[in-house]
Amino acid sequence: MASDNVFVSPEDSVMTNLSPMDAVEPTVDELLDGALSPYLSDDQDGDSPFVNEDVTKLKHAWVNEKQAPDLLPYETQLVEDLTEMLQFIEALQGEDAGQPFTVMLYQTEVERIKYLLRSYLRTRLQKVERYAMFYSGSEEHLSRMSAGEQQYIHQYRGLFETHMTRTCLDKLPESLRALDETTGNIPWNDTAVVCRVQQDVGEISVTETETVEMRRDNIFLMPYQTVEKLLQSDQVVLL
Amino acid sequence: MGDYYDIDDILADQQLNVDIPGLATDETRSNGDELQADTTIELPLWMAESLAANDFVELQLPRPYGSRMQRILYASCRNVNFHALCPYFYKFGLKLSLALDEPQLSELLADVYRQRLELVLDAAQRSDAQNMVEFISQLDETEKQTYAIAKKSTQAVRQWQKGDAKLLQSAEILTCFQSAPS
Amino acid sequence: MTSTKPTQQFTLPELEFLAEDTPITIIPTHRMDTLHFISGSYGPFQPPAHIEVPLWLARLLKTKRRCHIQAPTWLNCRFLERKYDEEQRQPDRFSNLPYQYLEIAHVLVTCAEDDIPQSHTIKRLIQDLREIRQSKARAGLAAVNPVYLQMDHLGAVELNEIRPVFCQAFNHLRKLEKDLGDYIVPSYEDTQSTTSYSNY
Repeated sequence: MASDNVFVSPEDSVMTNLSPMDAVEPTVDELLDGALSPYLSDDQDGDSPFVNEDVTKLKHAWVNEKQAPDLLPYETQLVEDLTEMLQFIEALQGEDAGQPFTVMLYQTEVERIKYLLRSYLRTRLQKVERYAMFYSGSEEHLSRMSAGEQQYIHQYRGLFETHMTRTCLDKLPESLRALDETTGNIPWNDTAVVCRVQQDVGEISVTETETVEMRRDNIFLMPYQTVEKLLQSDQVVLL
Repeated sequence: MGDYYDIDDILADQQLNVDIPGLATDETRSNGDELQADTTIELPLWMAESLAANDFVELQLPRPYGSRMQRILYASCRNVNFHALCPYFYKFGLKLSLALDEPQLSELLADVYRQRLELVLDAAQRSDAQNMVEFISQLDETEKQTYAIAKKSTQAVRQWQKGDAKLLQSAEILTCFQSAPS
Repeated sequence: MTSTKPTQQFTLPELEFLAEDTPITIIPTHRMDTLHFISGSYGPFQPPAHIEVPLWLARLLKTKRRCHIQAPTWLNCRFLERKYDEEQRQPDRFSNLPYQYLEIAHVLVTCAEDDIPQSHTIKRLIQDLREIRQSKARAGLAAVNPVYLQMDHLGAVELNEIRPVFCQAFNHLRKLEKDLGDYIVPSYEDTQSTTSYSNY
């Protein structure tokens, strides 16, 4: 396809996006580029000593979970740590109220983290519900769930089966009543996702004959299957 | 795409237009008469497919996908009324190309889809929606879906820029209940 | 049947939420001790010393008139004009802007209009940038193919806006372009049609 396109597709092997910025006034550009660096990616590097990475990690976990077609492993430690922190802070505020203004600031942050936690858990539950029939029969997927989610899926499946039987299957001939793992939706791992490369990955194969070089900060639209492994090892994040 | 409960997917299976010059058998009946061999009849794809699998019939491309139409599409596909050809032009076309083993048909469809996509996105991102009605009525269901999602996401950005978007929204189901007459 | 269908789409306020952890420089107007948050500690606030805090905190302090916000280096007319020129000069790629430039700019011009010099012009420039980039992305749709697409420097809002169309096109082409052999959609679609008969 035409190489004057903004997006690089397999047909253009030249990565136009990697050419240096315009060289008209390099000093100003360098200056501005330097100014940009804190904003170029949405994660804060740990160079400031007072940043707790857990919140950033949970943010990534939520975004990844939202983008991935299949259920990702549950972030047990992360959720546990943050929940403990929240309880601790809330207990502390109960004891010693402090200045109303500062309390309000702390409360705002608590609400933000709660919102993040809920969003993360809700995103997972949506998948658990949608693929309940399939997941509940798959050891692999059950192992990616928290204890709460496992309990939820079993109860949900029970409700679903009763509902289907009562409203519909009872009225059908015996041979058409099957309700098992193959009924209902199955996550489709070939679907497209957008990801950003976190560290240089090098060449990865995208078809039997083609490879693509993945460098830090590149953004790709690719089938989920192609990046699934890289996602597990944190080499890419979904966007 | 590929939803188990997707009604469009099921409807795409029922498009009544596979021509079948038949090696019709004694069991196949139409209006009580026995069908002669070599008769051409139209059957829903799901039926035709299973008949073909058992060598009762031989499948032919229906007219919207025939060689004449293919030539027209090769020349220019931008002004063709796909909705009139077949509301599920792509979905049904893909099923046909698999059933009849005609890979060049799906290649053509892919090409045509890509060419029309930009028009669809362009229409969706315009702020003047007036002149679009006719254009949209000529899209096939897949394209209409693309148009709808493109429009929705562009409008969401506009709304946000105007400052009326909230972080917490009521669930769709609640809005349904609230707007329902009591 | 499932109640809520999982969606890849973020709402715009969700994107704004995600961008609100971006560090922003403020000039506090009130003295305040170090604040110890779960996500990190900020302070002490000693006017007129500059200090970097997350955007959500900056916004909160600003609305309570406890600080002035210093616009990020890229949020000024000269820089944005240069970026616009760059977008025009190079139709084949997006210029390098902060990933969340639209969200950050939106938050800042909404809550701290008085702290940002020429905020009206800035609003217009941001809108111009958005439009030129949007039309580039639209033209880029011609490159959609069922293997991969590299789309460097696209912003969060921009990505979220075009994602549904690009993903749908990508998935659709993947089904159509059979000559890719094993890259055609795997058996899911096939198992679906066979099992669905048994359930009718």
